Amino acid sequence: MSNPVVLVRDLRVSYPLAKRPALNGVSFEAGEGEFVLVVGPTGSGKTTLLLTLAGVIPSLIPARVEGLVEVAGRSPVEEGLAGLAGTVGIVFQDPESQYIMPTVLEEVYFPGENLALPRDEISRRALNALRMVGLNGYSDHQVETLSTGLKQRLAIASVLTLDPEVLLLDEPTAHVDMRSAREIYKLLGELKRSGKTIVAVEHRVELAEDLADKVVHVRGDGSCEVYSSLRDLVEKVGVKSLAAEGVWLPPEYASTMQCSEAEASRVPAGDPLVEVGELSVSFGSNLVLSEVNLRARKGELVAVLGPNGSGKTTLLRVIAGILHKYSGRVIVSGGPPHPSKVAFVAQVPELQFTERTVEEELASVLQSQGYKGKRALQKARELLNARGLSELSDRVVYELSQGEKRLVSFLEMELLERDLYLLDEPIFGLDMKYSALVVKEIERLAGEGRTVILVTHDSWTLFLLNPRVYGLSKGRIVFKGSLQELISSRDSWEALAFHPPRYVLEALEEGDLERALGECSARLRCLYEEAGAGA
Amino acid sequence: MRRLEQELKSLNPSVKLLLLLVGVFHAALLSSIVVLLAHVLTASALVALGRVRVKRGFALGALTTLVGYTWVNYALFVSNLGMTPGEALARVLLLDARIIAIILYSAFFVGTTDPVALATSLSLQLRAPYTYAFMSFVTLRSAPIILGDLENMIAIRRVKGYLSWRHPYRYPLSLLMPILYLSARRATLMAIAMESRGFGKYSHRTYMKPTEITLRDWVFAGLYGAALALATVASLAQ
Repeated sequence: MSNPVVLVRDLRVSYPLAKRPALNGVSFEAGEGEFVLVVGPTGSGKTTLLLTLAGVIPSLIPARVEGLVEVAGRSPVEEGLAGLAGTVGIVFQDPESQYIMPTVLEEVYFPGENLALPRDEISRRALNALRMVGLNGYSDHQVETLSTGLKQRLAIASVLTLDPEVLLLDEPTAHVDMRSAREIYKLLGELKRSGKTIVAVEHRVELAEDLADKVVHVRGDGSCEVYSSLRDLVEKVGVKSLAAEGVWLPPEYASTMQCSEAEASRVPAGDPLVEVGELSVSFGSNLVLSEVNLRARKGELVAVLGPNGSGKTTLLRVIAGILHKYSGRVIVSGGPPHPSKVAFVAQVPELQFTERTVEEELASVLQSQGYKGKRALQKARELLNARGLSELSDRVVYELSQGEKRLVSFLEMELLERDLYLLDEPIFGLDMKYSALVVKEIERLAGEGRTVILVTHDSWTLFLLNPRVYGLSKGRIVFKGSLQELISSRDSWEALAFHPPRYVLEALEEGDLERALGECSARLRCLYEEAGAGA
Repeated sequence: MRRLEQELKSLNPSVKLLLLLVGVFHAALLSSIVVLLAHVLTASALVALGRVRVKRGFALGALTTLVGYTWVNYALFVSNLGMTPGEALARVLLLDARIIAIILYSAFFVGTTDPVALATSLSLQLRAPYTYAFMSFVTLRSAPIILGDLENMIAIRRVKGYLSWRHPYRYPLSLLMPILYLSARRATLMAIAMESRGFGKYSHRTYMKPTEITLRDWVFAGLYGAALALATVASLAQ
């Protein structure tokens, strides 16, 4: 390669007071029009790598940077984020934290205005970017009324108005449904073909696999190795090592030969615990749920699927007794819904935290159940020991990795020992290792005869848990049935923004669905067991 | 009425801000009944003509403040200053009128001003650096997200049964740390998003919708100034 657009040589990044460098000897390069996929476990330094390339580190976030970093022939370390604006565009996983202006058009005007471009040029770039991401019909819309998927596309459009040479993406599809995720990657494919250099961190590797010209594997210790493709990475490092590390892999990479077919022990479903009839919820003039009917029996595992903004979280909030303004019938454990009848695992674990350390956090739940201070702490430590998490005991909850925070939020809800567990996107943003541990916790709850209702975008979870599925679209239930029925019912996929793993899709086209479903579950289970769920 | 509403909403935010500040100081310095009545009537007319939608929370907050303010001042005037109940009530009503005028002017300003136009106008008309002018705007943008977090945290604490009457201080403390943590994280991300889009790269920027001072602003300034002058003359003639 003659002139790499992104050049990284022996990069080391150390945060103040950190025991080890976040990045330790990272080297790779990317040419014009190349797509670099960055994979690695949670906390390995992937985001640090993007922030350094963008010039955020050290200009906005202090850290010691050693080694060579060049982006489009410029030094992000010396020029900083603002200096590189126009050359580098960065998009994060959470679109809520990225939009600044109230309307769609103002948002795409914003970068051009800051660069003091002429008005005609700003307008041309803005309209062009909106057309590229398919938002040209939304110019006058208020950004806050857009779905999460559309907001993420807007974030990309806003960055594209800068006409950057390099696009940095930090898990751009983490918050969006599968349909939006595919649309985002279709757009990235077009940008790559138009000559943009793209560096993307992505857990949903199956989306990026075909686009990637090289794969940078950042290991847990912050070091890295470069591979020509995901398959090359898997062949050289091995499925077991990658899964154990926490790297997401599509099911086709696992071999069924080594996988156990063991199904999670499940208590047979009993009497109805949750009955929702003709439920409607409106926020102002916006009808969020319309005549929704849902039933969950004791010990049953129910998944609610649907695109961003379809009303899934609102449904959970009504069942939890948190949202009271609704019409229709909602019965939980034989009476009206009430927060004391459920355990609720929120999308953002920090919202649950009330204490400083992990053991104090767990003890606080026990104290609300009548345990005295020292006894509660003792029992919290015993629980952490029993789960092999004793090293977390005296850690500050806010200093944990995202995966560890999720586990703690799960454990404290388990301590409530409620009959009904409501889980809102329980594995979003987690690597395979922590997803496996969360799935294990869900299986444990179902195995104990608890009713679990989970909301998810992730089709992989469904193949492992095999739940009963309710599909929500625009506030209405448009599908009800088993996973197999969902896979067979292609007509429902569009409304639910559902897309099964490529492996199942291929088998479906070959007409051997039953075998494919069994194999896909076995392969996934195999990966998950390597990742820690079988431990 | 629609036309008037549109005209009021199209006023230059800086002009509106400066005139209302003059009005507030006028009401504070000249505390005669005529002046305060004029301010209450003018502010009420502006709120009505601007068809300002006052949210229930805002109205409740304003009413609570007013009731508390009235009661505390009345008690102070009677017990500390030895006024008769009639005198105390008259003084308290005058003070209330001032507070009502300020609340109504604030409601009018917030209800008829586009935050982006305000930031633009502070920068173009008042020559404030645009990075500072946009701060108020970004703060407004963050407020609903923080309120949403707070609402979710309260709901989850209800699920956890996290409220002990024996240690009531624990509850607000339990909200403080996560809200600070999440706000700081979001603020950092938003700062990165803004700066990566060129915010602050140059000391100047282009405005796609620049604000300017038009005839409408001069007419409004003239009418408002005349109302204040009339009130002042009437007050002096008393």
